[in-house]
Amino acid sequence: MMPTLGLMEAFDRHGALLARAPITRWPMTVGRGLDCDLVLDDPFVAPLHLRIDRAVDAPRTVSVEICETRNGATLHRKHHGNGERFDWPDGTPLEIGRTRIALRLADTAIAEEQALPQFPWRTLATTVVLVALMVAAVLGSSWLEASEVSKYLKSLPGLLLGLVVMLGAWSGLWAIANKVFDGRLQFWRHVRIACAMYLAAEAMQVAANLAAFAFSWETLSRFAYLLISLVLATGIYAHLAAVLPRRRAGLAWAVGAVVLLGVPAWLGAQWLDRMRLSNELYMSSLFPPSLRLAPAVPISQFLQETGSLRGRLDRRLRGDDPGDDEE
Amino acid sequence: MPFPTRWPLRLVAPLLLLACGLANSQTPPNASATSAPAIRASAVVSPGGAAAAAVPSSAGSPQDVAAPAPGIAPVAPAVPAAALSRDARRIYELSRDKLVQIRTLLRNSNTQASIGSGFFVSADGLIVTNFHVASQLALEPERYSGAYVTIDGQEGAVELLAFDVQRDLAVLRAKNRTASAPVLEFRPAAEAMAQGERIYSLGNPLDIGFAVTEGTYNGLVRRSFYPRIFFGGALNPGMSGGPAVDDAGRVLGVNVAKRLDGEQVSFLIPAEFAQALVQRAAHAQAITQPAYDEVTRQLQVHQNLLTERFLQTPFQEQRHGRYLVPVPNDALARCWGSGRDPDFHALNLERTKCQADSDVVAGDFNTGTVRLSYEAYDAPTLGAARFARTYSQSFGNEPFLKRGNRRQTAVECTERYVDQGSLPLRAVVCMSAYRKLPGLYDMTVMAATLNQSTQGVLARLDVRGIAFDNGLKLADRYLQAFRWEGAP
Repeated sequence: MMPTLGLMEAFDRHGALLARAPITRWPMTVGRGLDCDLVLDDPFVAPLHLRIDRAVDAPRTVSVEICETRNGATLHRKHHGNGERFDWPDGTPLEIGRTRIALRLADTAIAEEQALPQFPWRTLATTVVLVALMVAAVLGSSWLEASEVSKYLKSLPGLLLGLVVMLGAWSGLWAIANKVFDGRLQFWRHVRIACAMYLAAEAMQVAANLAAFAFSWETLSRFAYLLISLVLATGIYAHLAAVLPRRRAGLAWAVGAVVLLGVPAWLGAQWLDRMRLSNELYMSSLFPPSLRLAPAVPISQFLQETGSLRGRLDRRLRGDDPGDDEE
Repeated sequence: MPFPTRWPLRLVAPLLLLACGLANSQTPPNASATSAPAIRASAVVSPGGAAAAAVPSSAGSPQDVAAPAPGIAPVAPAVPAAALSRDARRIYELSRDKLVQIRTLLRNSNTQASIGSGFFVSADGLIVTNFHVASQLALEPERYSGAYVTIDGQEGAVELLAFDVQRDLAVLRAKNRTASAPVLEFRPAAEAMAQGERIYSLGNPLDIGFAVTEGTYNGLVRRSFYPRIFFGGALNPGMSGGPAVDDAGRVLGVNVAKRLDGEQVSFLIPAEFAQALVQRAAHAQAITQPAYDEVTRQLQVHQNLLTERFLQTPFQEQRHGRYLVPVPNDALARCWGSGRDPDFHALNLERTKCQADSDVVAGDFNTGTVRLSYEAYDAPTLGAARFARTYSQSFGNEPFLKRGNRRQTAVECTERYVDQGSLPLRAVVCMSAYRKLPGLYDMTVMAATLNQSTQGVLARLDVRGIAFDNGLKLADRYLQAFRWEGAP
């Protein structure tokens, strides 16, 4: 019996095994033809696509020769065309057509046996903490707005149910996408991302409003929605990255591009629509007075500043769109 | 009139309902619990628009007028002749040929856009009516033309000679009249009327036909910015601009408005203002170009008077705990208060809304109004965080013109923490400019007290149709008036 010199495996784009051939001699051929050593069904692969050889005098190197093919092969993102020859380092996937092939040589050291994963206590704890924080944030927020304790208690079951349904639906849809594209459900991971996104957005809102109140930074309060949309964009990126883990860089660019194009487009539309960049006319979030750090000015000074309204209104008279909408 | 009661009722009931709905919808949402008895009404009708319904004593819209026509079948029971007031009949006979209906017509189609009433005051055909009846002739003469119709159905064109926006009066001239017009005399100002004296109002309500309504003279309206006679009788849309006469058939006032929330509470403009305007109009040229400049000039005079009166009369202070909150002097405005929210026990909330009776019609909208309102909060058991949330929501939940319309621009605001010594406030001033009334603005001042973690006052002052500098003066006076009384 011939000794096995190595193993060649072919995977589809999702990592599923398509074919496997033990290497018993060099050279070794790969293609659609039935006479090849590794036969592939990929229509983007030539009948004889590759010839792979291992020189006797250079036993550590496997060389690849591209045969008569239209599509060539890609190694390390470098494309190789017809007739080219190159070295194929052990353990690196080589792409031909829509198939990825991997090589394992018999004389390569075998990695140690891995321990079975422990029950993910840490992940579970993170999930529990995040969900608990989110529930606390939602309940706390509704408590701040509640008028009566009894009414608040009565509203709790509905509120909790609504929260569970919303969180479940959101994470569930992401999990379905995850299953479709990556083969894994990862429901709880999406739950964690959703909770973290909600908490971060809430924290951002409170922090922006509080800072705006404390220091009289009206602009911060006016544009808090932009900061929150950045948080949400990060959250969406985290969801997408879980769904398509191999395309993180592309997703980051895509989400970044949406934010970079979307925010100016939104601001521009706001400006064209009503000649202001934020829909907020004035800062309306008031906190307990002891949190105010900005000084109060004399009324006369404030009204002097108010004189600037005349110029702003003149600009509106010139440039405003006299639509028929009234509010 | 043989069937006076049924038709107006059927017509007016929906008008009133709609008008009340409009009036309520205009009140700020966080003050909606306050009863709104102070609905004023004196705008001109726009064809078929919602505004038409809000106008009790000017014209009904064409749709409104057309509505009863198919339903005339159930004839009202004839009123026995003896039951009719002999005086009313005499007055009607005396005045009938001196009355006219005033129509504003769309120039292109010659359909009527609004209707009102008027009366001849000079043999050469001068007619007195309300400005809100003729405002389209003043502001859009290229789109509208005016016409008069006498009781005999004789029609003719009219031209606008002069108007008084402040008092809501206009003088027209009947064009191409050959015969001299029969004239209603004015009652001399020296002859004072006695309270309870019987007077008669004439006009053409809802385009149904000329009518006389009896009522009583009840003196001048308290707190009205310009003198108005309180007429204890019915006025209906379409009677605007018609005369109110005494027992001798002499004009003592001009029909102008009525209250929607009461019965037979109507208002007349004293005749002396009409007389003055007639004198001014006698030698005036007809107005053929949009008269925005003149309207603006008169509104400037109005807002100057208004500012002067508010600056001369110190605010009254209303006490809530240790807060002293400014409200207008009782002589300037009517205030209404309301109590706590029954669904929110922990929050002790008191609202007050005040309004000066100073609005004037400036075409198809009212301006010149001054409104003040505030909400005093006290919630010792609520906790600072929950109080802050409720307080913020109420502060943020204020109606503003965020988008411009064809009448005025969207608002622009400035804001600051201000302190005049005893009480830090978050102050916001927002203004919006009128497009066709240069130099006039709507101003809103808001103040939220910021010295207690579970108490506070949110206050708002609205002034419509004010000059920029006068607005700032009023804002200054208003903000300076908030006080906190320290521990004794």
